[in-house]
Amino acid sequence: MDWLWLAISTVITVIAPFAVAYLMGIDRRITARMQNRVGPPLLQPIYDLLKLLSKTKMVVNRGQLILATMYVSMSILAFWLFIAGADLLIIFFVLSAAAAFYTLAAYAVLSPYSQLGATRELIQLIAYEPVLLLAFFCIWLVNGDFTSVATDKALVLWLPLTFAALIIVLLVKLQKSPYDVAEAHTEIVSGPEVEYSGKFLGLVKFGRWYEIALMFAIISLFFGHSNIYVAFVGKVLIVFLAYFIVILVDNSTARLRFGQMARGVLPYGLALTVINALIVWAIQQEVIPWP
Amino acid sequence: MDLIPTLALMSILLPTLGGLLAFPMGDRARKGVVLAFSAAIIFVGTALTVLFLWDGKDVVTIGEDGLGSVDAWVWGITVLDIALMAVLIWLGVRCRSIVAIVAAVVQLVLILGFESWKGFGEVPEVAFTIDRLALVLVAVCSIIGSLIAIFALQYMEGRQKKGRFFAFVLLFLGAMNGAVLSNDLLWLFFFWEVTTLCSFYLIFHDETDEAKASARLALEITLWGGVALAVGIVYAGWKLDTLELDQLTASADLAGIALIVPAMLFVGGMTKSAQVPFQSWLLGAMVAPTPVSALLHSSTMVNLGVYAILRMAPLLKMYTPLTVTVALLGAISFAATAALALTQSNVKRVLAYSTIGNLGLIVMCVGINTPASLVAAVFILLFHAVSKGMLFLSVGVIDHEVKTKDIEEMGGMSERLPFVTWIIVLGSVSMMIPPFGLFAGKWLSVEAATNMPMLLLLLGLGSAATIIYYTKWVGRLISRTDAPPKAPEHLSPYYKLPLGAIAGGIVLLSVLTPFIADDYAFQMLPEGYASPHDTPSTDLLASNSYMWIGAIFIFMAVGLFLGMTQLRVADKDRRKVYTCGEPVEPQVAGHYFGGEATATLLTDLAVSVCAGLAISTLLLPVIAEVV
Repeated sequence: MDWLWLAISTVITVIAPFAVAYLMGIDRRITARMQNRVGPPLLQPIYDLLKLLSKTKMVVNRGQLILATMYVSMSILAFWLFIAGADLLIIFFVLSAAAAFYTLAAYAVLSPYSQLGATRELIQLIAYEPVLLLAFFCIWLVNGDFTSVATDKALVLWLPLTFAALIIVLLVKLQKSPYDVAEAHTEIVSGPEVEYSGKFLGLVKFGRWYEIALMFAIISLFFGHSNIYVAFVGKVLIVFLAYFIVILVDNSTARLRFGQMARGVLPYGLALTVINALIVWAIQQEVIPWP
Repeated sequence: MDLIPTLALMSILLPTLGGLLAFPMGDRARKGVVLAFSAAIIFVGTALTVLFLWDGKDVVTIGEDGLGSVDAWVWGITVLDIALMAVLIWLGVRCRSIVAIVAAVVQLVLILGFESWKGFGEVPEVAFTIDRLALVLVAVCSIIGSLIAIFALQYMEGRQKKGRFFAFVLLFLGAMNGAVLSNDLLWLFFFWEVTTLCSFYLIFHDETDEAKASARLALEITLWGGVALAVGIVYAGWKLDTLELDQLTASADLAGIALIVPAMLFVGGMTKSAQVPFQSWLLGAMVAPTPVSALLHSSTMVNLGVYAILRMAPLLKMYTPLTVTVALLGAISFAATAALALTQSNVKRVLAYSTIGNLGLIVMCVGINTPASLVAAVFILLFHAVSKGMLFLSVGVIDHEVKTKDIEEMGGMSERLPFVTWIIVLGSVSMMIPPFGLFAGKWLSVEAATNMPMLLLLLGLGSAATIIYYTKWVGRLISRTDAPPKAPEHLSPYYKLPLGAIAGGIVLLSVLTPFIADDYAFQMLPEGYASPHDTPSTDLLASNSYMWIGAIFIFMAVGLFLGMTQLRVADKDRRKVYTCGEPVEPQVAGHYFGGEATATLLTDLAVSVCAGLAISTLLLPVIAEVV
């Protein structure tokens, strides 16, 4: 890794959350159209963040804020590691570190909503982490290694079921229904995030954008091409495709109870990835004839 | 005089001597003796590690010439071995356990029969060997074990029969060092059974009905493990004509029924390491005073089992069905115990399940049996031992100061016992989160598990569950309303010193991870294993060294630094939590995934599957012979 690439990856890491914010702006527009509304400006998430930063400070305790900072730090790290071309497994572990700090921050305040949200967050963790690990394994199976550097292969053709499983994980990470059980603002007043306000809420949202950016980055792995321009366009398209599916699902489903949620993510996600891995393996071993 | 062999022998003899001295003494004198000997053992362990690394040899052997009077050793161990069997039979009688008596008698018959067939008093060519693997265990046992002994000085204050307690604690350390250094299998067997004796008395210590029952269970299971070990050893001496570990593991090829040697030693190791289906004795052992748990779980007992299994790695490798079974057993132990830990609210049980799970991971790595996976096994062994010792001691402090072991009653501990809480946070974080050492082990083991993809499923589930139960516990400890801080706790230096020392050790070892990988762990592989550098993640761990692990450290440090310094909170900014208008703050209990009902179901399931697999490891050599 040379200094130029280090600089480029750092620049991408700085820009990424704003790109995510822009995508979320599009999301709000599309959602609004689906619900026969006009919707906010495209940059609304950024306006929201700026407004949050200017609000009066209100704090329950400092431990929560320190842990939230660790969460943000780990989210940024996970994304940067991806862009810098680290091993997908390190990213996997750093991502779970981020989730652990996020949950710990929620536990640090003795608020019933926050505590409930934290517990639900943990149940989500057991639902999506094994799926993510197996999805990485599927990528390894096709690519031959765990590095996150792009390949020429159009992985989505090899791993369509894994792609579908990752969309489920994406729904969880984006706090979209039917998997928004931890945040669940209408039920437990946004759970783990209930006790943040002003700039601290902004901070946590900012960390969340990095997590989402990472999820999109992983999804962008599913399209590659030897021609860099084709690859770029393909990657953008596949990210939009994934996000569009997420929006569609979000608007056509209702929130599950958390037990249902765990049962709805883990078995389906695992089944999809395992079946896909088996098919790829069978093709590689020439059990299934392939041109 | 050559220092390394001397220090190695000291690491066996010093604790034994200390134990014998501590037994008859009065309280004050005993405190002095235990302190002095613990300090000396720590010194010996550290000096041995430093000298060995400085020397740069792969293996240092102690043969006839290094032992002083070799006859004294040979006859001493033979006589003591027979005496030990007699003591074990007597213990069986005392517990009224036919199962234990039969096991001890079978051992006695096997060993006596074998010795008289072969001729008593045969001098081994190489009596003790110190290589990198043995050194890891000796260092952990000497340093962590002694720190636990120092901790126990305060913890046992006001309890009965302290003489017996400290005698067995120190003896335990000596026996453990003896077992991992022994090259002669009969000597290994002797030290192995001494640890069985020590663990029996330490679990028995409180002499309540529960303690007696648990001690009896531990005795029964570990004695039958000893029988498996004895069968393996006797077979090796009888048919393979060698009793020396280095020659045995270098055997060119083992086929057919001869595979019974690694299979028997593997099953023996499983009982010592409390792997499913033999996990029940370790859970029962929770009734013992907490320093005993710390000792059993981190520096002695359970490590001995995985040590034996790790030594058998090159032999297990010779028959693929055997390694696959071993890998499955380990992975199931890991996933099942991680799930079981989710259902428990007694923190000692949670930690016990976590121990079994991490050792399961080691067993799985031996089963995968690639260079990278064996390195992963050693990483997990080392870092788990250090972190788990510290966690158990912290739990001991909470138990001593607040009188609770229940996670649900530990709310707000960060106000009552801030020092201990931060130690636990560090310990838990080091068990689950990068960049601490255990992560390197997990990373390597996941990478290695791509050779047997079915393991990945179990690994993924297990590691997610691990994060959940640690986070749940730590979350409970740190949850607080931010009332003005109370007066800080006054902890005895006997508590603070060992905890602080181990905490420092964890951070230091984690920072050194790339060094440990490249300069140490990669070079400890048995003969016949390629360099682990063919696995991408080992390269990322070592030769590009600080790149990734360094990045994680920097981000963690920056996050923590910014959080600690930049987030000033004035009193006017403080608010109460949102409770939807209720005047009181309702308490929310943790989630236990169905509690005991789930636990019983899961245990039954895991035990029956693993018992089947464990039996098949013993049948596989027969099958290999027939086919």
